[in-house]
Amino acid sequence: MNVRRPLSRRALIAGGAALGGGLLLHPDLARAVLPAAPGGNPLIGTTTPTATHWGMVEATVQGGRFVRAAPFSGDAHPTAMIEAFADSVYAKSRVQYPSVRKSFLKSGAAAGGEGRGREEFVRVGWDEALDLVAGELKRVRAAHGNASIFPGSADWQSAGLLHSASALVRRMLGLFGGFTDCTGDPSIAAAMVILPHILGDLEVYDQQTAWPVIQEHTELLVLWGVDPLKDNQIGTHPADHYAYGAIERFREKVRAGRARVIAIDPRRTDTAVYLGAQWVAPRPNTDTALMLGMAHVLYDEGRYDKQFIEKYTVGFDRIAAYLTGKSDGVPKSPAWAAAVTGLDANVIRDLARRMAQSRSMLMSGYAVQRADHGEQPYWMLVTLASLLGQIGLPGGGFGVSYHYDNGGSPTAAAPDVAGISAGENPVKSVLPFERVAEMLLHPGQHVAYNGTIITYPDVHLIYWAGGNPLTHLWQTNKVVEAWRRPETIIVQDPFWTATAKFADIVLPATTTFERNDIEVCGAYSHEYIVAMRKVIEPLFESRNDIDILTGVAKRLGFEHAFTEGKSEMDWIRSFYATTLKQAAGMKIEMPAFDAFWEQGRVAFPVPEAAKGYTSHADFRENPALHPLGTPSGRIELYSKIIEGYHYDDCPPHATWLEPVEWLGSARAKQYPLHLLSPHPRYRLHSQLGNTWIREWYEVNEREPMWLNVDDARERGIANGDVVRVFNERGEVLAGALVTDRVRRGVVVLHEGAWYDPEVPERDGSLCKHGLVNVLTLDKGSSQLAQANIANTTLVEVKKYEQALPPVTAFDPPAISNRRA
Amino acid sequence: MRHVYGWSVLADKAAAVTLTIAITALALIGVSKASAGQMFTQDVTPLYAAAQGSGGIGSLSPGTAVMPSGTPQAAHARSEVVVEGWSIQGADAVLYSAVGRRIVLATLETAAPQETLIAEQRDDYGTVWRHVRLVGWVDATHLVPDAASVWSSAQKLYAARCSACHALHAPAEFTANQWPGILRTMVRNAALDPEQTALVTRYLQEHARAQ
Repeated sequence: MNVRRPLSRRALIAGGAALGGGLLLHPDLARAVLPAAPGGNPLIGTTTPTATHWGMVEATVQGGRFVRAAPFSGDAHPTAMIEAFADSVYAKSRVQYPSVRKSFLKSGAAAGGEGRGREEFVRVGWDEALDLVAGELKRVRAAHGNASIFPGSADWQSAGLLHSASALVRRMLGLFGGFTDCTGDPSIAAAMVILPHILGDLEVYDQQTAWPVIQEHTELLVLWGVDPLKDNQIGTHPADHYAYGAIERFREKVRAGRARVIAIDPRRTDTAVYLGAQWVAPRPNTDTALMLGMAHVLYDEGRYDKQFIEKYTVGFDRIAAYLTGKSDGVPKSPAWAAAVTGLDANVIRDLARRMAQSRSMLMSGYAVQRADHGEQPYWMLVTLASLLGQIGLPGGGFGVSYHYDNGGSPTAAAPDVAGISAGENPVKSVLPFERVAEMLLHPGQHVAYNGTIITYPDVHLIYWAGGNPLTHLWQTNKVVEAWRRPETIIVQDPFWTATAKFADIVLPATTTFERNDIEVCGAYSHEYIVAMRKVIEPLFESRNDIDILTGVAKRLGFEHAFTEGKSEMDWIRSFYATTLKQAAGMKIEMPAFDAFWEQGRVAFPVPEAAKGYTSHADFRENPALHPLGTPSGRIELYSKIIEGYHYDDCPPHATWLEPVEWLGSARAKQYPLHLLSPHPRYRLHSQLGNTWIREWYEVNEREPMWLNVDDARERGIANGDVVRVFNERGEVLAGALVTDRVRRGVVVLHEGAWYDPEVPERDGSLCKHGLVNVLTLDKGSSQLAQANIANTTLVEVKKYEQALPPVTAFDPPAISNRRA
Repeated sequence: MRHVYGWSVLADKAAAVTLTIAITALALIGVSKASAGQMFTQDVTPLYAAAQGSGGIGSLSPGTAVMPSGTPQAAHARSEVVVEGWSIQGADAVLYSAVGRRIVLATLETAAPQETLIAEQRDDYGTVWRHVRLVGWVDATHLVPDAASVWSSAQKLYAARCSACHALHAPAEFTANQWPGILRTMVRNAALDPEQTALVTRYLQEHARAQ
């Protein structure tokens, strides 16, 4: 399916040399000594256990060089992405030494932000860089107060419970008197706010009904906008990849005719293909309408579970009045839903009836809620599952995290490992992650958020460690405009990401493989505690995040409070000591630290009971004894709390509200294609984009874009063509991947391609490489959650007829030596 | 299993319903937050049926207000205490702080020998709540004269353990009813044992948003 026309290796090397000039030092040269060959023979390697977001690995070093990572032998389904780790460590996009934007070095904050992303950098020494950072922090705090300092980072940069850049930078800034912080999580920002109102819990991070229960009891598996085979490759904690074996086993059940799978999704996902699912492809963002149509069928035909509704929910009469049209004059009939979703009314009837007749598990992902009014599809999913009445039954109900962290992987009897703490932030102003650009552009503005009013602080200094907001924030050209406003931007990262290129002070951080750490493998299973042993010494002049921040803390006068006098290994030992104490309380035997560190990991058994875990079973068994955390203690199909907020964009029960952009809107005449931006298959957001792994998926060096066969034909676009994707917010180049795996009228451009403006001097420049957020819209889902709406975007696509501009996203910026 | 109520709700400036309960409590038993002699549990505190013997009837959550009702004994002996709260009909093993506000004050394994039903009330959702007063015995070492020290140690623990993976959430981001479920989900990353979880949960609930 994939079209590959990569540059040859030779061309890549030549290009790199031409663009990087003489400044790209070989790491050995940077150290000025050749590393000793282990065992005297550079071809005989040593292996070191460590762990990453992609899972546990064994890293091999030959001749002092990290050459490859092999999967941990106990990982039956390792991801192929680990093959690119070594390339990532030595990528030409590594930040090699502290660097400062030229005019900032000369004039400080007086330089203004216009030169960001445009000017060259100047190499400086560590002492000078850290003096500059500490000086800027002091200056900005004195002039504008602590709330004007913003770290922002959510940090997927590295696994490891000590070297968490986002926690460490908050720890330092907390000791400095505080900072403006973010709350929520861009992955699930709408869900995190709406679900506590209707289920009394976050749900999105909760353990799911265990896969063995699905295997035994589920007769109808509904994949609603979710692709577990793609997304479970990675995890917040090192991934255990349990889902792959589970889905493999479930396929046997499907093949034996004992279960069926339906995939409701504008894309035909990898999981849908693998499981041979029936594919139902509604228009994007119409999930709530589709579920309402199905609920109407259940209600109208008396197929809903009246006892469940009565015993476990509140507010059904309000939903019933909405379904019949009694409350708004519009019956949510299958015909009505068909007109909204673009599906056949009989398909909608059939879906509802089959779900009611079978033990049905409604598996959804986070994608449906990353949309305008993204609160509604989740509320309606729970409403539909309540009508079906299978919540709390083995293999029935709903689950929203089977694609995330291998949800449903049974939980071992294991202690936890608590990592470095950020501690308390004396400044109490917080805002949702999603509103960063708005905050920078409109200080002082008041915004409704979940029953409260937020006032945007006036941010003058950004200190971003371990993250890439210029890629992950929405509506890039607006973000770039916002990024020019603060006086000072400090970025700490191993790589010259777009965010680093748009900074004033850039500090080179080590990668996972250059430091010691500790992790828990399996965010849900907790099956292993793993030693992350340093594989190689830090490359170039890079330092560990904690050491960089210690240097800042020292200059600010609180080094000891920051380090507590502990070295890297002291911290790791102290985490492990807490774990040992907890294990003792649980009567679990564990090795002493030295033995653990030597053997590399400790495994914990999974009890049989965990394999039989059914979500919400206790609530179903006795709702009085196990009430939900809602005001009623039951599932709130209607929320009196939300009613009291009086939000026109988030009514008090699940409601179909037209998104600001969708195929049914007038705007679709101008921009007739709905753009989706799911997680990529061969990156973790933007990570690993700077490796040869791009050759696996890029089309003409551009991010591939799924385009339906008929849409392509209409536009004269062939497989492998480079296309211009655009709307009034921006334009990007992408490589056309013409396929029948996406619904007509829908295009898919996975998130995380590295940003590559063609003409950096001009705002709003075309991105040569295909960063999807150039096209997305920065708007809150509603006044309730203010969540991002990445999947609510209309575009048009045209074949790109001009000469292809070279991709330069992975080149470091021009850097000069001051003495030169 | 059964119930309880804490005078700590009197400190709460939140909902009108809480205020009503507070006034009721004042009228009924003549104590207030400021009242002399009131004590607070500083951790998960076993509750006994008598001054001596192993007859455990359940436990009190950390930060629960109790009123010693008998003459204090020697330093390490058990104190007789009165505890009051609300249970949900059909689940009288758990005593909450107020109608609709599910801050667990006590969980009971067996009925307390001295238990008085004060009143019954139906909430907005049709759930029947029973206002109960019970008398039991606790080891005096679990009691402290003010709740502030309990919250202070809980706050430190919360900040230390819950700010590693994400920005520390302000207690006021969620309601008292929502916090226990959120803690249940998140605690697996925080290396908190059940006792510590109970302490942090109670702290967050007591400092939660009203709605």
